[in-house]
Amino acid sequence: MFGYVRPYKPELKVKEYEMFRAAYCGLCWSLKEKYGGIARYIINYDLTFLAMLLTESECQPEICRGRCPASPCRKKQYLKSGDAFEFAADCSVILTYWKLMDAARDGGFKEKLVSLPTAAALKGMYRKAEKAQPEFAAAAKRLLEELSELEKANSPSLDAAADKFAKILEAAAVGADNEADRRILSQLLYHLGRYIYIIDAIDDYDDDSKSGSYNPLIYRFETGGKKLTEEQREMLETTLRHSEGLISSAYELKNKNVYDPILSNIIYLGLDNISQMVFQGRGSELKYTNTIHKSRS
Amino acid sequence: MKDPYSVLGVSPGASDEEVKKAYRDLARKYHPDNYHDNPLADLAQEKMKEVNEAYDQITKSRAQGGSYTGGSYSSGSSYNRAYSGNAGGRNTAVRSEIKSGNIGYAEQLLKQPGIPHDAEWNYLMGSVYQCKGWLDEARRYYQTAVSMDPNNPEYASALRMMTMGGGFYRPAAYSRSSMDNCDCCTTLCAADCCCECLGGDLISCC
Repeated sequence: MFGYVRPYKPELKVKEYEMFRAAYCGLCWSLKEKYGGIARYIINYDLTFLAMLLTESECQPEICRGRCPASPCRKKQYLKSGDAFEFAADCSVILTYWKLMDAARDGGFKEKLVSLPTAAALKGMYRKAEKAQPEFAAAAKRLLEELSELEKANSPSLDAAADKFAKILEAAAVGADNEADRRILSQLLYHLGRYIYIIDAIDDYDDDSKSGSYNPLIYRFETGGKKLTEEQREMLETTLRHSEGLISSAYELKNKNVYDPILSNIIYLGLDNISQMVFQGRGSELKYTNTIHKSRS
Repeated sequence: MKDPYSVLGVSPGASDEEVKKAYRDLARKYHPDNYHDNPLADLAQEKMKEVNEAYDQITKSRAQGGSYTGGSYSSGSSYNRAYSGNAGGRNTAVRSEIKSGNIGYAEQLLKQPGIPHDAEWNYLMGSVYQCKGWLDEARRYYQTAVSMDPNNPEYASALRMMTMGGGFYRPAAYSRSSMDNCDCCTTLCAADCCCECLGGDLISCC
C-alpha cells in the first residue's frame, strides 16, 4: 500500500532524510493541488521515487511550508519540484484507478465491496489524469488487463507476469531528450517494476497459498502452496539482486539531479534492505506503515 | 568537446592526486566488467571513452615539456559478449541479430517450427530472454544448455553470471562487506601483537 521502494534510513544523512520527507510531502501536495484533498490518500513511496528520478538535472526545488492532515499542529515542509512531481501525481491516480477496477472485476466479494465504490469515486480524477497522460493511461489499462489474463491462466512463468507490470513502469520513462536517455530510463524503470512485482509476490505468497489466490511463485516452482524451499528463496534473491544491478548500472549512466544522494541510497541500499525484510517475513511492517526506519535486523 | 574537468567532476584547481582519484573512481564505475551482458554496454563504453579522453587531456596539459608519464587505462575486457561457437547458418543469423539489438526478430527466428532444440538453441534463447530482462527464464535456458553440453565454456560462463546475479559496480560507501576501512589495519595490528607475543614480528615498525 505504501510501497516497497524506500531508502535505508540508517545510511541517510539527516539533511537527506529531511529532503526525502519533504519530497514525499511534495508529491502529496501535488496530488492535493491537482486532484483535491481526497487524492492525498493515494500517496505512495514508489511514485515518490519516480518523481525524484524524473526531476530535471537543473531543477532546484522550492521549499514551502503547508498544513498537513497527518500533522495538524505543525506545518510541514514540502518541496515544489515542477513537472516530474505533477507527472508522478497523474501516474498515481491512473495506476490506483486501474488497480481498483481490476480488483472490482476479478476480486472476491469483500474486495469488490471496497474497490467498486472507490473506483467510482476516483472516476472524475481519472478522466483528468488520462487527459494529461493518455499514453501512460492506455499502457496501464492494457498491461493490467494482459496481466489479469496471465493470472487467470495460472501462468507458470514468473518473468511473463513480471514483464507486464515492469512495462507499466517502463511507460513512465518520459521526458528523455534523446534516445540514450530514453534507453537508460527504460531499463531502470523496467527492472524497478520487475523488482516490485516479484517482491510483492514473495510478500503475498503465504496469504495467497492459504486463500487460493493466484501467485506466480506457486506455479513457477510448482509448490502446491507449500513453503518455498531454501534453494527457491536463493534463486529469487539472486534474480532480485540481478534486477537491482541492472537498475544501478542504468542509474550511473543517467545525468544526476539534486535528489542523487537519496536515489543512490534507495538503489544501492534501500531495495536490498526491503528484500531482506520481505524474505524474513516482515512484509506486513511495510504494507501497513509508512515508516522508513526499519532496518535489516 | 565537454570541459574535461567537469567530465571528471573536479575543479580546474584540483591537485594531480585529486584528478587521478576522480579518474580511477569513474574508470572503476564504467569498467567493462560492470557492463558485461548489459543492454546499456555501448553507452558505458562511450562514457568510458569520454572519461579517458578527459583524463588524457588534463594530464597532457599539465605536463611539463610535452611528454608525460601515466595515461588512461586501456580496458582489456570487452563490453560485449564475443559471440563465437558453431557457425550454423540460422544460429549465425540469430547471433548477429542479438548483437545488433534486434531481439524481437532473433526470438522469432528461434521460435520457428522445425528447429532442433539443442544446446546452442537453448543458449541463444537464454541470451534473447536476458536481453529482454526475463532473467529467470534466461537462467533456465542457460541451465538446459549447460546440462546438454557441459564442456562448452560460453554456456558455462553465461550460467555462472546468472547464478552470481550479474557482476555490477557498487560505490565503496555502499559496499556489501561488513568490513569498513578501519578493520583491515586493526586486524593487521592485532596480528602483529599476537606474532610478537609468540616471538616473531609481523610489522617491524610497530
